[in-house]
Amino acid sequence: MHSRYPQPGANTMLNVDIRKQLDQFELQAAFACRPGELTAIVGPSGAGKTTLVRLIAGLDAPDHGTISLNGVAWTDIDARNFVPTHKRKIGLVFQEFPLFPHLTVRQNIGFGAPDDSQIVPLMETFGIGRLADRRPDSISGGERQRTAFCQALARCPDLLLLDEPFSALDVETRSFLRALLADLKPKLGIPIIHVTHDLEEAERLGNRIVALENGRIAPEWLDRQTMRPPVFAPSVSPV
Amino acid sequence: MDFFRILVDPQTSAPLWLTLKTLAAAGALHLAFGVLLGYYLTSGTGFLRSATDFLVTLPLVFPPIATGFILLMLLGRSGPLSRILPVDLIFSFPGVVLASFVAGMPLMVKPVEAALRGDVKRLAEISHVLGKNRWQTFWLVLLPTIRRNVAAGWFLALGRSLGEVGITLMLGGNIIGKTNTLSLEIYNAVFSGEFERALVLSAIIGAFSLSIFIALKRLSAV
Repeated sequence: MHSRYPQPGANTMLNVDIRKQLDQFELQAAFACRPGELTAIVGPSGAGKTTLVRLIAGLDAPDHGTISLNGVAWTDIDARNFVPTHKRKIGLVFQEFPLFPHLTVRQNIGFGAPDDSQIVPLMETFGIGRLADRRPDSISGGERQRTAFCQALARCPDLLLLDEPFSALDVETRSFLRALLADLKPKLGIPIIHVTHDLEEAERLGNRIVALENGRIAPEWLDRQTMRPPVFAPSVSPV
Repeated sequence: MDFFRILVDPQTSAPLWLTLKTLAAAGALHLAFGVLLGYYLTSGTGFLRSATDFLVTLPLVFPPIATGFILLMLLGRSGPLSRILPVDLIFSFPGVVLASFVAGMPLMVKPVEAALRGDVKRLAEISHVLGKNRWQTFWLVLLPTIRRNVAAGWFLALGRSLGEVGITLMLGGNIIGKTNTLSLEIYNAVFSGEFERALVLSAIIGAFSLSIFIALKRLSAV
């Protein structure tokens, strides 16, 4: 149905085809994301964006469908296959930058890392090298989010999930991290799912854009060339 | 009043020693089981979780003397659970420890449960995302994050154990020289007209309680 998208089952890395009943509507999403590409998921609050990220991460389970990475099924409800979150090699950055309060910045970054070799280079890249021995409660929100990015990337993930990571940041930090993400995207070479309600951000960073509206992918938003201001009413005509 | 003469009197020092031993044993049990039960109550589901929650909360809302009586019926020599127990609990030191453990348990478990239901759930999710399983997450993230709540619950449980009378009376029997804890000995001293000794015993318990209060204040101030 979404001809301009890499379809589930195609030769891509991340394939998502799920359904889950939520309070107000049923979330239905089918899309795929190639390595080195960023798929931006946009939509109004309550459209099911964060739920979709949680399903991909394995923090929640869908009612039906499959999620696979590079042909390996992480979630396959019909086959009763569900790989727990800790066995999915993912990086996840939340909006509110939660860090482990009892660990230093360096320890936070190294928490899920396979080895320590990436910690210092990542801290330098994200401009937080001088904060290595500080605790999360003694650094700013922007510095916490930079740390959260380092933490996610130090895991050497096969998939990066970003759940509105810039929305609570000051303008300077936001533009710094946006630019860094745009630069890192091809270098990382992994699929990136980026949830945002900022259409401009989605357009700037995304190779592809999935617009969610009441739990469904809105067809009129599928092609980047048709991007319009975020009117999410069902009456918006497909172009 | 000769405070130190009364303090070193075996009638006073024996209950003091017994109480210290009881607090040490019950405190260790609170730490071991209280944290795990708090964790189970936040992650478990179904009837077993509800039943556990009910049993843990019961000593808070049920009269201690009645709780002690029920435990006496269950664990007494003709009780249904007596045959499967490796030790004789009734009218013995283990019985006194059990009484202190049961009395203090809700005050240990509930703060831990409340802390685990808060923001630390998101930290647990981050830990899972970063490759740690539930057990690793519990030891590496949850326990260190809620350590102050654990300590606060532990001190509250110790305080409750220290003042425990009703369950101890039923399970321990208030046997002089064997199961008469400080709190029970205050009752014994008053009953036999030794008001000065009751005052000294109360002062000792007061010092314990003050220490616990200071520890709790320090925990909340950090």
